[in-house]
Amino acid sequence: MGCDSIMSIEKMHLVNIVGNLGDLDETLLRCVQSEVFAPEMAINTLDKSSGFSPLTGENPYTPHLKKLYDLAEDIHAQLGKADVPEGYTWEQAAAEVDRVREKAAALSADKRAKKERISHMEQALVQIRHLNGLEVPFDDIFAMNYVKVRFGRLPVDSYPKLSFYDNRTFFFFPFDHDDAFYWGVYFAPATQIAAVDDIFKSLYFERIRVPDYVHSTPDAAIVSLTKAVEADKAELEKIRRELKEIRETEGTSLNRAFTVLKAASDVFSLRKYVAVLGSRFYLEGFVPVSEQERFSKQMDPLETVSCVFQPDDTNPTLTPPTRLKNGRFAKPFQMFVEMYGTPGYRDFDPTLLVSITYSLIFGIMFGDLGQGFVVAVVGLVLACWKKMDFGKIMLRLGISSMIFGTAYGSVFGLEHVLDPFFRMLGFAEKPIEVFDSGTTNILLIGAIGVGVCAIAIAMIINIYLGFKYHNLEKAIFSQNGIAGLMVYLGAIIAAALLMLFDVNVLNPVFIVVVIVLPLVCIYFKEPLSKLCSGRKNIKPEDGIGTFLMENFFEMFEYVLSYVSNTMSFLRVGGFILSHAGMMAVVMSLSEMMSGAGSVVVLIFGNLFVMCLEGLIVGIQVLRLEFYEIFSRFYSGDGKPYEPAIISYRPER
Amino acid sequence: MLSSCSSNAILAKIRAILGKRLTEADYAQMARKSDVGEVAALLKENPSYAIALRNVDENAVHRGQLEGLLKKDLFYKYSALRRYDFSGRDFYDFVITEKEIDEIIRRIILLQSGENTDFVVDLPSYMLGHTSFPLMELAKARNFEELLACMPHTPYPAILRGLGREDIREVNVMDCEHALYSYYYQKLHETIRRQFGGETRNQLLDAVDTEIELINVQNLFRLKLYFHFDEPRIRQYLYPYSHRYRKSQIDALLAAGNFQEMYRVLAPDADDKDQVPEEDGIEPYTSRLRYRLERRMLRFTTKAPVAMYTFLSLRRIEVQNIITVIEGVRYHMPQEEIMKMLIL
Repeated sequence: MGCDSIMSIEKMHLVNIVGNLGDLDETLLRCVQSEVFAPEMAINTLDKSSGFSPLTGENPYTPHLKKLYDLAEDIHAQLGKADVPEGYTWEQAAAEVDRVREKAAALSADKRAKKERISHMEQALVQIRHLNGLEVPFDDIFAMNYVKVRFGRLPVDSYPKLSFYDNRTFFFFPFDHDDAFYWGVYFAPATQIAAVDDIFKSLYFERIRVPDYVHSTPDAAIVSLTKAVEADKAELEKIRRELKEIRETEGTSLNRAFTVLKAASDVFSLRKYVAVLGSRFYLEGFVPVSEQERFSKQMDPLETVSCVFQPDDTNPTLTPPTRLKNGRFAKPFQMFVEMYGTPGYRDFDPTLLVSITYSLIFGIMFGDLGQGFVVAVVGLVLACWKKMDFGKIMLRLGISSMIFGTAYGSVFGLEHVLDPFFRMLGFAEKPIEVFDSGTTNILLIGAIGVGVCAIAIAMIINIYLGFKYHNLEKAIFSQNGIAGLMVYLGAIIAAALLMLFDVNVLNPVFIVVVIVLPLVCIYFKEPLSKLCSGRKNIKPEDGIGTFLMENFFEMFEYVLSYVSNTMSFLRVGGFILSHAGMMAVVMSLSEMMSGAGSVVVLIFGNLFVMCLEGLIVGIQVLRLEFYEIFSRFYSGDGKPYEPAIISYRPER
Repeated sequence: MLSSCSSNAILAKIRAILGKRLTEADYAQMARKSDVGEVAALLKENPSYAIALRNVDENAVHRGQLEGLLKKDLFYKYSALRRYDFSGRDFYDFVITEKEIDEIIRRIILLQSGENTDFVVDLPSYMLGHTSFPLMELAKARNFEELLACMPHTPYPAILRGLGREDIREVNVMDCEHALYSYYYQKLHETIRRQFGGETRNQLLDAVDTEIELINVQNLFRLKLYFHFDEPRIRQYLYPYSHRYRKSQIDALLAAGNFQEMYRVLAPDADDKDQVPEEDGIEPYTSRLRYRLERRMLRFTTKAPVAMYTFLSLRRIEVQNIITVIEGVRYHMPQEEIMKMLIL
């Protein structure tokens, strides 16, 4: 129990549900209503010779839903969940959809026809614009008795092929061309027009039908077509208004129909998880242990249906899904963890670690009492109003920023506003003066200290997980195991003692025991772990030469990564300085202005720094979490817990 | 240095294009459509074909036009990739040479049937200016002599001259095809041996020989089962290259009595589900085998010329698959029937 609560991943039970086919629909409905049942494909885990077969059949609600979606699209209605009166059946819902559909049918058809006409005319308009080079009225051209004329466009690829037909009696005049078409007209004798039409057709010439009401030159045609388009658009607008009326009057009944049909359809779609033998059905899935009793009670009224709860490892072919369980503080940070990957069911959930380290490092890097307050308020608004998890994260980060901002004595970039407060508390001045040369060094060394702690914690978690899975290579011999931790901390402590306190512990015994021996362990981690697990054949599979070569380079990379990952945390200190530096620029600019200008610069400067630095610091901390910490122990290859529920979002 | 950079650029570009290739689900979605316009509309939404088909009016598109645009896009992709090659090697001309040969053969066939306009209709205008002789002149040729005369300064007249007289109907198209492709394969081998060494040469020869060998197998099946040619005559039409199949296997193919026996020689381990129906011919088997082998080669190679060669071949198959779907949709075939005909 203690272990599980540390890991904050909920324990699951595998539930097998068996019952009479007659009760299947009710069973599926109750599973969905419970909102805790994560189904598994039963047919895949059953013995092939057991005679079970999948349940087939078309979803009978899909056609009605499709009609409803089409209707909603026609009248621009936004479908959503609505309260449904007692006893309202899906047949009634389907009838309701048909009724509204009939009401809107004539208008919708009219709307479609109008849109099509407008689209044709607009297309004709585009094409006639390409004929603008023609200065002869269309009437004169169409009035010719012995010569036929065709307007249109010829693909660019076909244009050079016209030279092949030099000996034929037609002329093609292009007026305009782009990268795909030549726009123009061809003339041919009336007696040969059929043959010439065939030639052009074979060259994919697309005719432009010049509308009957176009009489004069293309210029005039453009004017008359534009007028016709505008008139049609006005009529279309009128139809839209009428459809809007329908949408407003029938909105509730359509939402009611949607709620019932979508629920029925989603419940029916769960049938794909069901296996059938004779008149009995079989369904399996995972339910969190904490919800087991409620789920069981929900199923109790169904007499022919029995639920059997088994431990999560009963069926080795099934991977239990991961449902993270975290306290109020850490919960919003699950978003970041899931962004990297869901933790494995038996793995360690790093959400608490992320929530603490992220808030801490963000606060250190973005310390400002005023700006932190703004971030916290914006976060609170987003969390309450938009229900965004990210808002909750911002609230926590804002508070952390306020705490560190107080320590730096910084309020909206004003570095000495809090001085009286500190004096009142008995300090001579504010605790941390960022620009003080002595403080800068301490900040940078402190940043590395934060990094060393974070990396060491990540290694310790890795060691814990290694022992938990009896993976000695991971726990003891790997670069993130005990050997790695010894080398890393040994080197850091030795360097710290030497540089800060002038104490040299680098004697031969220390070097051999703390540095060389663990490095040898890491180099030979594969054969050593094989040896420890009692395997006789410890010889590398790809030959000794390859093994030595590969491990040499890997070793090089490990040692480099210890240094680079630690140095990576220097950015924590760097950003404290950069934040203070940017605010100093804002203050200087503000001082250069006078009166209202100064206040405006101060406000916009603060907004600019908050947005830019807030974003950069947020990303940088996430980078530190993912690269420097997660990469040492976290694989994120778990299966997310997705219980069967009804989604009241319209989908095709 | 520049050459190796350009090589990496070609590889990276090819891998990027490959990432957007059509999947089985895409084909299935296309095959469900009810007319060519709907297929065109769907293809226009696919990032791989959106640019090529951007000007297509799906309400008025013609099947042939769509096919032409897909082939043109393939050629443009080749040209775009080739721009990154700074080595100056003429190996990459193989695409042009092959297309020239195809056009010459198409011209001879259409001249024999007295068709003059069909040739120009399907002429790939996008290749005008890229070929070693003017393609439009080929369209204007009316007999064998005129055909040879419109390709001066190319090796083709010398290859074809002995194969026919002025009366085009007396020309044996099969002989022409064999002679032209013998030249093409020989030139391809020489170019590869001259311009590449080591791994690149081996992989390229592997790809080319696989292709030739499978064409040999196809020809062997056709000549034996449909043309009923005797063994020496069949051998005359086989290209002198081999790769996976041993000489004894080719001999056994020649000696076999019917389709099933021949198929057993080719695929002795095939079980029931791998059987190829005789009415479909051996092409589905050889095409799928080639597709699989080339896909594998492309996945593992780090050599730009090999990637280019196999990529173009796979892309041609993809275009052919789309054309199959378009034709199937045009003739209202059921989706599952269309899917069975695809090379996947």
